[in-house]
Amino acid sequence: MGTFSNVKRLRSLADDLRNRTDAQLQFLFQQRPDLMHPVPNDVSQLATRATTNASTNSALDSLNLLELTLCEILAALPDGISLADTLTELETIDGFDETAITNALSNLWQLALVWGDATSLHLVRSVRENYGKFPCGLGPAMAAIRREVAEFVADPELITELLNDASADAKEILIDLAWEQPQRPYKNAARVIRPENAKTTAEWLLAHNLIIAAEENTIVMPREIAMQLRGNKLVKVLPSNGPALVGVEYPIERIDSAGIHGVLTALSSVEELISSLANEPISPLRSGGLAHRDFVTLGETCSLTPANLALFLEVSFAAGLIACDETYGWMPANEYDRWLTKSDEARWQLLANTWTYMDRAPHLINSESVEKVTALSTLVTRTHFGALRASVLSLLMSLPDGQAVSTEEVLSTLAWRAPRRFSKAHNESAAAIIAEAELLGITGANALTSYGRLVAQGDDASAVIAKCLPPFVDHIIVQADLTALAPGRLPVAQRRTMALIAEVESSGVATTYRFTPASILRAIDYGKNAGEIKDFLLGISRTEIPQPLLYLIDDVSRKHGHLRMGHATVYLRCDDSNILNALLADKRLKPLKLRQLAEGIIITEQSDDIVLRKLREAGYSPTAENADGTLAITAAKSNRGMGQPAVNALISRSNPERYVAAAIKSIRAGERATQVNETNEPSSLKTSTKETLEVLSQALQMGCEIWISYSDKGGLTTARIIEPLTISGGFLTAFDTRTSEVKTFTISRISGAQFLDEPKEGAAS
Amino acid sequence: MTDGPLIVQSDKTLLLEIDHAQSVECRQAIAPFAELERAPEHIHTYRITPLGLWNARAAGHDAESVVDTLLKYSRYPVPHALLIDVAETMSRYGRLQLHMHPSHGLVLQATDVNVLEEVLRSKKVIPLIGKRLDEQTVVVHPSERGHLKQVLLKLGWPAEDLAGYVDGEAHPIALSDSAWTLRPYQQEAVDGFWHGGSGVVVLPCGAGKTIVGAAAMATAGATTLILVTNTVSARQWKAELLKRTTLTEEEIGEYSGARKEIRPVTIATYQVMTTRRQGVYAHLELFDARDWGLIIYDEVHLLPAPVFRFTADIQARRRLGLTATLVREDGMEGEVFSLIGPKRYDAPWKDIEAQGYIAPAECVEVRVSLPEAERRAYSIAEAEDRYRMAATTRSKNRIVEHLVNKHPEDHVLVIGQYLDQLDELGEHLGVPIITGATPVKERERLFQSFRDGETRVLVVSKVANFSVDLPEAGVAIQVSGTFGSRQEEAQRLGRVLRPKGDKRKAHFYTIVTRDTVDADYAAHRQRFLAEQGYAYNIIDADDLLYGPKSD
Repeated sequence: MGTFSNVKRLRSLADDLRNRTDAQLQFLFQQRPDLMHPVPNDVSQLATRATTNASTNSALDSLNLLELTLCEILAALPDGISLADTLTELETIDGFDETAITNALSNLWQLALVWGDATSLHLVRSVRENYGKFPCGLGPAMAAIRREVAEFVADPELITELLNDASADAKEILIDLAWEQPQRPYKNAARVIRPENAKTTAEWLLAHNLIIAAEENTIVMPREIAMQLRGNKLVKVLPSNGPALVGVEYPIERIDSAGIHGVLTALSSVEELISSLANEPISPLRSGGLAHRDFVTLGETCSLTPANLALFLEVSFAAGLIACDETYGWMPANEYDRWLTKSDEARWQLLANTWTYMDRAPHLINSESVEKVTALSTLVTRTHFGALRASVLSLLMSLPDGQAVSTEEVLSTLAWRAPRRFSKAHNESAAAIIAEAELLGITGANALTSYGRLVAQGDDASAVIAKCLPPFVDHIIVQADLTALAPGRLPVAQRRTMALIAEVESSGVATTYRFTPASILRAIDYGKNAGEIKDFLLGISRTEIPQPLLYLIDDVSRKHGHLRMGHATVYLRCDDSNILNALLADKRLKPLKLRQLAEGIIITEQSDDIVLRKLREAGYSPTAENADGTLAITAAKSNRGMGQPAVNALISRSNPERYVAAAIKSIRAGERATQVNETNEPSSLKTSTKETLEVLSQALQMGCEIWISYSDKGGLTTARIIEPLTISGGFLTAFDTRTSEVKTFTISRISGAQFLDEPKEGAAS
Repeated sequence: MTDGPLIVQSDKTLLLEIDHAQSVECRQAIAPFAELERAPEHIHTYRITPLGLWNARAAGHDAESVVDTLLKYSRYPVPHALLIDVAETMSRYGRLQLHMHPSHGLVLQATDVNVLEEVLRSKKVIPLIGKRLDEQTVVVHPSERGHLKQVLLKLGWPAEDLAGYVDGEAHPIALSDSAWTLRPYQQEAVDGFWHGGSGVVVLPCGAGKTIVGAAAMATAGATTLILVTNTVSARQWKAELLKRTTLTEEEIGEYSGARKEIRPVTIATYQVMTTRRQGVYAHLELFDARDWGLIIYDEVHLLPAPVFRFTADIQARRRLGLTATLVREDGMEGEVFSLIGPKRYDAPWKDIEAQGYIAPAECVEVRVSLPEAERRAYSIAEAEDRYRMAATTRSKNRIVEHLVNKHPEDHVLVIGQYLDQLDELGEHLGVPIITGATPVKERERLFQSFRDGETRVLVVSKVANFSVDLPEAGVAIQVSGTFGSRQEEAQRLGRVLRPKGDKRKAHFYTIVTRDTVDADYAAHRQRFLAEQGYAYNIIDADDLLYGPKSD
């Protein structure tokens, strides 16, 4: 147990923490990041925080089944038991593995759930209390207070003899009391019963002192008796090692190519989904989510299964690609346009990254659960989901390249690795995470793809994925049934054009398109003309363009533009064309941008109050024809909402090391200040003004920390550790390590100064 | 990445590039489990469906061979999820089996008790089954055999039907071995059907479906009930059977409105089968009139609903469905498959054309404009009158006349929907017309004179859509139709697909009024044929009449 420190007899957790190395503290902070938010002032504060229920509970969440079991065992054993004694207590139990157990205990110590050293182990009190009165299902030890119990301890044969006489009923109750529930209610337990008077099984047990009346109406099985019945086992089994992950091994190339389908499907689905929202934004429910009916319709429009739709919607939202506009509802966000211009690999990277940290649980959407969770609503948020995904991914990352494991295997391993996090209730979530990883191409054939691994590590995967994506094809095949096939991946520009002029029928590595009057019309609406569409097709098609398609394009384009509609806010109507002509010619009315639409009608885009004012200023007096006289035709298609990518949730694995190092430094500093305070009364630190200035200037030159005693305005003298920065005009500017602030000190108020590593006398001499 | 001919998409479609060297081999390999969806000129689309996979299992293919085939021919890596799905789906087949129990009759037996428990909990299954014999077996009402299979299929646990077929009353039939032999694809179709037990054979019009029926009868060697669309068709079947088999006049009966003969081989019309007398389908008893060993449904895509329902009750007999176009605008294709049986054989039209068994055809869409006066009337017409107005425009008559004159050597059929229009055309061209009102005798006489070459041009209504064998017809001109019916379009093209003696091309013209619903329906009608690789050429009526404009 190398990590246990053995310097001196430790008195408390704080004492233990004080003796830990920087590396050990660093590990602690990494595993329990809540301890450094905010950074504690000193070790005592750290120790206090480390023992709060909230903090220990979240630390327990990260323990594996063996560690948890050991916690309960330590709670059942006397406080301060030695390592050797603990091992002796456990060695008869099935599954005992000394190395595993020692390592687990060492880890509990590193996590500051256990403190002390090999000669005396202490479970942190809040954890101990967590296990209540009967840890390991054991009642109180009673040998010391009840003579009858002491007799059983003295002679183990006694119980064996009694058991021989016991009825089957009695035996069953005994086993139950010994393992499960040592204390239970029983009326009039305290009355005296002689063995010969015992009528019921319970009376028989009481008469023979196998159970003891704890109170008037409560019986309890003493720990000593339970242990004898249990064969001196604290637990039935020690789960020393987790289940083995067997799985199947594939060449990583096969995994990568399996994942590529997920990658391409994710990209095309998200694109189709969002462009569908661009055409028809969906108004949100009052709660902010999508109505079930809208969700179903969207799924049908984009031919996505509910599960896939939920995933891609939520990822798009978390990535900031869609946003909810107050007027129009859900639509693409400005980020989407930027995303579209990027390469396939960069686009996927964003989706995959977003998924790994987003705190949303798409599988809950429209599931069979009692509470109806609607897509994109706040109900989808599950704050622990980032951590859940991290656990699943870290498990997959621990496997060698190309090893595929089944969902069941992953679940049972997770249940051992973090039983409090992955109780049965979480199985569904974990299974959903595994399925989502497969859909996104982070895994392929149930193994981590090489690019998925990079994403899971938080690295840039675009170079790797670019290599795995199928090569671009430069042509399509157009057929007489008005379909076209791109027999591989089209470059971005061509793909966008094809998606505009035709409907996507089936997508995967290849894409099939269908030309319809609606799709051609859409392209013309977007500013393409028939000639451009034909030229594009002629350029890209490997086969001759079938005549029906050319006719289709011509027919649609011929009909286009016959009927026109436009935008006007105010119209001016007059039977006298002279007046209208005068209006059009009037220079003062230029800003209104009047336009004659037809004989007798002029329109403008300006609002009615401005038009009215301007016309009156110019000496005309129009009469409003209609109280609201406005035509509200607004185009929704080009609107963008203001979306922001979801904020990265705080998760343990992303602690920057620098932050941890700074935290340690701060605590150390606080600690030194405390020590100084303890050993040196501030009043005892007194140096002359000359000596003080000397120490200050030396420290300034060497850039080292010193401690000073300083009287503040109120006359209170405190000891502080500072790092001098400048001295000028009787003021010292320095970095106060305890508050981590740069402060200005009045030199005349510094009553003493001293280097940290030198005794006071040394500085003075 | 290999250079295979097949692209496997994640949505379970398979895209086969037919210009690829391996395409023929690949098509044969995927045909057992994937269904042909479209077969235009360059890329054929197949789809993997649970039904297709189960049929493949029934035919003795296992999941491994399916996966191997996909991996072998695929150009890109095959989606892993799809491979898993294939294995999973195929493993569902056969967990339930239908057996003939020596004492309890028809029983449903499970190799996996959990599956049985699951399906027995379904509300739809409960009325179809009887007593539970033991953990793995329940009794099935014999009459519900087909219904139960259908329900189980929907539940995703298809039953393997091992109960066998009744042989029926034996009746020796052989193919007459005169100067003809079965074509290879006909033989494949018969084999496919026979090994599968029951099912549907899809062959293009003019590819000899009657012969497939005759060959199936010869294989069965049993009494046969043949259901056809109408009396003319019934007579043609009879003539064909007399010609192709050893059957004699006395052995073949006609069961129609006119005659009610029940003989070892009986040909009945759908119409008589569905005639109701006082609310009762009196003639459905025909199904029980003899111990039929084989039931043939001609033009199975027209199968009417009462016959549907009755068919569910005769699952113990072998059933063969014949059709050229299993597309129904009512979406009932699935019913046909589950009641008659799955598709046992299907071939792209262009393949058979390439083998020379059907004539190559040129499809042309001629676009006419509505004259100004008609155009104004059209634009204010009620929606339900619009198609009729657009389709029957007078401007079509000139085009028809022009086209008839353009092919002076050919036999021409002018086909339409509206009787007024047909009468007018008949008068305009001075040729006889055949409609539903024409007596059968007169119809047969006119068809015969057409076959003999005495009559060169016939105007016909939809009575000639199906099953009228007019080998000489080389040009069909369609002036109007049943709205957007895809199968009608295909059937009408089928009228001219019989191979011609001098290997000349057949011509199929459809005259469409531009910028009206007529054009919209035409686009939909053409879809099936376009998907079979028939590319329509579009010609402007003015170009046709006066020659292309010179710029």
